[in-house]
Amino acid sequence: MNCNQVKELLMPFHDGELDPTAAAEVEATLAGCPELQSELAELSLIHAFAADAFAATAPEVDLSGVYGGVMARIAAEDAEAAASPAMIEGVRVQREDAGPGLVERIGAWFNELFRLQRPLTALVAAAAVIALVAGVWFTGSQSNSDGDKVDGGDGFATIDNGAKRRGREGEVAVKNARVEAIASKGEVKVITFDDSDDEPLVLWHVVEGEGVSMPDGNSNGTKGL
Amino acid sequence: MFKTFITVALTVGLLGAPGAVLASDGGELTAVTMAGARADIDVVVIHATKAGAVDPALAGLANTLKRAFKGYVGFQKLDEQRAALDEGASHKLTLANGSELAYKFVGTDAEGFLQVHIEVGGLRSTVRVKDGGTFFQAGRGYQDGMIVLAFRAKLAR
Repeated sequence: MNCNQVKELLMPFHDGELDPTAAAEVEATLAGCPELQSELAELSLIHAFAADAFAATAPEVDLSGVYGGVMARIAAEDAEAAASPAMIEGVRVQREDAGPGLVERIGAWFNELFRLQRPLTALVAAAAVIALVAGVWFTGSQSNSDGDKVDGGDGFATIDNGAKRRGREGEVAVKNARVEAIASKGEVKVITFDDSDDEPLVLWHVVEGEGVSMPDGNSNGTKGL
Repeated sequence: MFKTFITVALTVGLLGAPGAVLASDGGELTAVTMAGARADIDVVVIHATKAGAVDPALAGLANTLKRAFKGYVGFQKLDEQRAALDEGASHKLTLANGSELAYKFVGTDAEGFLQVHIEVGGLRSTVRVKDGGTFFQAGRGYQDGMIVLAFRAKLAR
């Protein structure tokens, strides 16, 4: 089992849903995956946060910290993604938003909510939080539809603060073609493109050491991938 | 898993109409709706190099190849496989560099796009392509160049 495989099992591992053998394997692998250890710690913190935030009865729930918590987590994930270097193999995506979408992240957060022992309270709180974040969600949806387009600039994904970053492992590089959408379906990227465009779609999968780099007409720094 | 399902179902239910926006934004793959479709999927295996010429057998693709793979001038056809695949059926072949390519005709969707799933050398992707559309997969090294796969997917009539 490697770090990527463990990542998929992190949530059930955290919740004690794995069988003892799988749990032991995850635990052993985790020792060599510092990033996942941080993620596991974050899961525990969020779980504790959610439990604290919704321990009161529904009418008395104080949601003042919830919105901030959600947004802080999203901001932290964005910052982490912006700082992360290329992880491997040069399989990367050229779009503005290479990380999980806002909806996915809020969905994951709601998943935490429903782990509470008081589901009714959690349900009411979830509905309230939905109302709070709806505006942000719509904003995120709007930007996501734009963000899936190929970056026409130097080829690196662009994030809000103008910094550049590479994609993550498993992402697909799509160059030149006018891509209409890139969606995630499990580990698989689903790519829609307009083949009436002059430039055909190319899915690049470049492995370092094989002597291949993405050809480029504008020296965008793709060498070494 | 059940909790996740409930969470997603509740979230979509509460948000109502925006769920459709999610689908159109590419956050989720829309359901494959057309049953019983069959597609001809043509895969041409090409060796691209930075020297040499275009194989006459690739004359029909020459301009597209040169445009898509700037810096490469030599394109030699190594293999071509045409598979008529029913919805959900897949086909495999071993490439010259030893990698195994598997591709599957997933089906068509409500918009008439064909969905072709490919797995090769650790890359797993599904491409939605218009009927008769062509796309490429490239980047894996082979000898002094790289392997390029040209896919053309067309509904069988």
